[in-house]
Amino acid sequence: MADNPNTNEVPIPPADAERSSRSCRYCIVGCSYEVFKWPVGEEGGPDAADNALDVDYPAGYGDWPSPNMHQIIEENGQEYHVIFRPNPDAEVNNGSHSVRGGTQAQSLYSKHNEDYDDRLKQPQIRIGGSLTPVDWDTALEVVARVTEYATRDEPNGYGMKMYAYQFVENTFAGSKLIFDVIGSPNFGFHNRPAYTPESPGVEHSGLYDWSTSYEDAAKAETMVIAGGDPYENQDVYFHEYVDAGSADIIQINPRRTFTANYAENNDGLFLQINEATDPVLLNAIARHIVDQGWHDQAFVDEWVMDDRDAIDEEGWYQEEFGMTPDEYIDLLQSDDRYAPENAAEITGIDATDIRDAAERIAQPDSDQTQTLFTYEKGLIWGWSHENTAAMANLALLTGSVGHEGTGITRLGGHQEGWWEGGPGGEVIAEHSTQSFTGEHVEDVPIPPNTIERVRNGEIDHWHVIGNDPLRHEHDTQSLRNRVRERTSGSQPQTADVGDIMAAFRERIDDGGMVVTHQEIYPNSTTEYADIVLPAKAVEAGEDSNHHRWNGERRFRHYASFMQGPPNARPDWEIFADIGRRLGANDMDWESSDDLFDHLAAEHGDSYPYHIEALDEKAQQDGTTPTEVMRDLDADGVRLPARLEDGEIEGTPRLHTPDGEEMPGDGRFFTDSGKAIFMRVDWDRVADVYEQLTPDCEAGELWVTNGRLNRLWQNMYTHQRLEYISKRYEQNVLQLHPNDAAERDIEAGDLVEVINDDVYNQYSENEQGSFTAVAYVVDDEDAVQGQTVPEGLAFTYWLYPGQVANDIVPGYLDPANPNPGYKYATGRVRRLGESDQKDRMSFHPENVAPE
Amino acid sequence: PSERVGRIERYPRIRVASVDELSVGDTVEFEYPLDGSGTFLTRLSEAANGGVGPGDGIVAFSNLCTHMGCAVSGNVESDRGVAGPCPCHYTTFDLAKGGLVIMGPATTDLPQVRLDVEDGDVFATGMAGLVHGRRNNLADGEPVEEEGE
Repeated sequence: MADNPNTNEVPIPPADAERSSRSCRYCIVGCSYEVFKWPVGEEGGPDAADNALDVDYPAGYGDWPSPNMHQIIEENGQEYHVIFRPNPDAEVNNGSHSVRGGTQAQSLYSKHNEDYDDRLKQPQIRIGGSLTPVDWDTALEVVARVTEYATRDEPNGYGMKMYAYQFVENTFAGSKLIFDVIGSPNFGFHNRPAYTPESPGVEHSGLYDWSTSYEDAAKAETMVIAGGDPYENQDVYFHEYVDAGSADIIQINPRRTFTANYAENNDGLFLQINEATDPVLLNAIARHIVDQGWHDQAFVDEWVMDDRDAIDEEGWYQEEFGMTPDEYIDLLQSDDRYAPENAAEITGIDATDIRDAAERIAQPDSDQTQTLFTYEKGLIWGWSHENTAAMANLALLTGSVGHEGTGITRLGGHQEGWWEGGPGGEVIAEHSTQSFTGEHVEDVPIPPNTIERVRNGEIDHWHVIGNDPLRHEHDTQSLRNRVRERTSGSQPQTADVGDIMAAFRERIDDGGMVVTHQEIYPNSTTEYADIVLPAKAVEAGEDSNHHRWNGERRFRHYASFMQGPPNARPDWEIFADIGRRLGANDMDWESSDDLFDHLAAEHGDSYPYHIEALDEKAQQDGTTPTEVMRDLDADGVRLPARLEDGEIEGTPRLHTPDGEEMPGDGRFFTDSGKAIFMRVDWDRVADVYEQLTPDCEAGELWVTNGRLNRLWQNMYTHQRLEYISKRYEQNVLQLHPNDAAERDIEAGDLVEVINDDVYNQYSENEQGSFTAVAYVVDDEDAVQGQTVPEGLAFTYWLYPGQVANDIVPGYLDPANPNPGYKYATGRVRRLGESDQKDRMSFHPENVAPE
Repeated sequence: PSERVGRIERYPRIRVASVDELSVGDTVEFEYPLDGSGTFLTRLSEAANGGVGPGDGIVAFSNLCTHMGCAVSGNVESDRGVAGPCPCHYTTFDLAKGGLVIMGPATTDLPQVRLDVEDGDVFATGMAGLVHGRRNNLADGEPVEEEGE
């Protein structure tokens, strides 16, 4: 029977219940929620006048708090009801919600939730092989002393692996610690090993990768969705903007997902591309546009750089990859692989469909295109330069930038809150020992691959914050083996700081490494950690106020409403404490509000998210930037912000023709203010593609990975939340029925995926494997087609303990080391029948309305 | 609101259908447990959690999608054992797995009606899961009339 048998009712908040505003803790869409909190024992009435929801019961469309939107928390001996309601008045979501946001009350720190026991609640140090509770002073003193020892000769001995998505208070303090206080270049974002752009081809062309407004999806006539799926991952964006609009969708994906069928059912196109061949398809579309003369020559003439010397002066990346329009068009037209018929052979897409897509994108009958380009990890986590550059080129070629219904943007995973707190670029240039040499540039310093530095012994103290690199990185099985070796040396035997440091010094001297893990729940990295620092879940409303932005740069105030584990600390406070112990005299913020006010006043011009206006407004009104943000409530402000007639005004979209909304910048992010075409050359990656391509004769398949609607990232909350996890109690491997039958596999069988030769360009190839439950849809039930084609398997990308990254190749573009997580291969074998055979639903997940 | 009762104390027991008159794929709409609470009963081709009758294939569920409250009864495919995609935001529910969400944004399973069979008739006797819009399934409405009352 149905879930939550003990929640067959939901209390109603009384009219005077405490209300606060925040955005969802999960995806990039950033739906707004109202949080109602009131003492247990009190209850509102079913008439609107008698409750804080202003709703007459039974509640109508969109007004209903479901059982999973409610929880009871306890603070200082008093129990409180908490209800998360999707904000019915918010511009982003208009009261709608995803399954993730709609269940976030189930992950509050509460004895009534399944995750309560798992929260990290006190600092720990591994003593005699076991993580042992210690006090904060001991733990942080050890972190500071081991950092000093690791950097005794030069700062490269310290490495930090930290989220990028979190809140500006935490990322500012954390990046200040590594770049400003310690001076190390060894920073890796949560999903990649280096301090590199995630969309290099877009950013280096002068475009910004979060440049559009959500409304653009509703106003577009054509929407290109490549390597992403908004219904799967950005439900509310899909419903409120894509579905509400009338754009013809061009979905580019190796899998026939819901959005692929939705596109076909609504006059769009589904281009089911062969794995890893996107640059060829996108170049072929561009070539056909040029061949037909459908490109926007006036836009190119005015806004795309054609001076080779000026391009070279923009930087080494542009010097290496930038092209004049003539060079770009010559590349498209001189390489016959990009002729539609030839591209069809490589990509698996009919030449007719390539031409059709080109016509829909270029809209030759219109004076001005209304085409929106969107992409996500299917491109980013592949050939990251080629894939993203090819999309940027298409947007520029067709002039589809900077007016309603156009632009280029990511579909995104998480909300964003990166705010650099120190001289990152200078530190990297000064201390990096890695460099890039290409056709046009030689020995250029680039951000180091910190995972390689962990492997090869250059990083002696690895500080991991808010993620799980031993499952999140590429080729993780061999990475764990190496980290196990490097942390297995001398171990502390008491909690005395001197004894601990003696053991850590001995280990480091022997080539070992110390791992500090700063987290809210334990994960795979915790298993190898020497020091564990428990953090507050500020995204869940604990401890203090924070700020971050969504996929249209909408910056919002997350108001704290609960305490969380009493002995945990917010990350910014931990960073500040470590920084002061290392000699910093400017990390003495009294609160997150104090930190934010300082950030807005002194560092408000972070590219391209200007927030100086918040401080100007605060000075004008005699208040603080924090209070200005609080007053902006659910809708916040789309950055960059500016002060106009005494009020905060936002920027719906970037790259508008006159750039008047961009304080201090031109239309594009280059010195000249013009954009740059980027070289997209299949030859650059063709050799690696050949090496990665599965050997079908040996029974290998492509094994790609991605998101599933219900599951959020590494499932740090969802693995512990019964309603969510019961849909997939284990990881799944989607298989075509023919591939399953060849291997005697049925739906519900437990299978193993093995890669005997996990490609690694930096060291020897090794073996990797993971297990999953086979998800095989009967052909009769697959009413709109099989999701995966023959030869391709798909799995969830970060299921705890069953992680595809264990077979993911260690190919990283030498110019911009982002891993090709999507390009794994493996052979699949049946282990036996799983306990999911009768419990899991194996119906198709891709059925869209006809 | 003036017609609203505070809260009834137990679920009513009502006859919904005759087993002999239900073929696979048939769907019967009725109101339960309160007047206006739309529900549907159907017979699947497979055994279902909470199913009754031949092969345990007869099941009944709330008609209201637990996402935003749109009606799913027009999108029941009994031969495939699913309800959906819901016309509003496309959630699809697995009717053999207790209303489990196959795909989509609903934050709880589709509430399932408890059934039993007596003398060839199917009776609704209760409900697992909160119906969309309700604070309690038995509050803020008039209960459906039990036979014999």
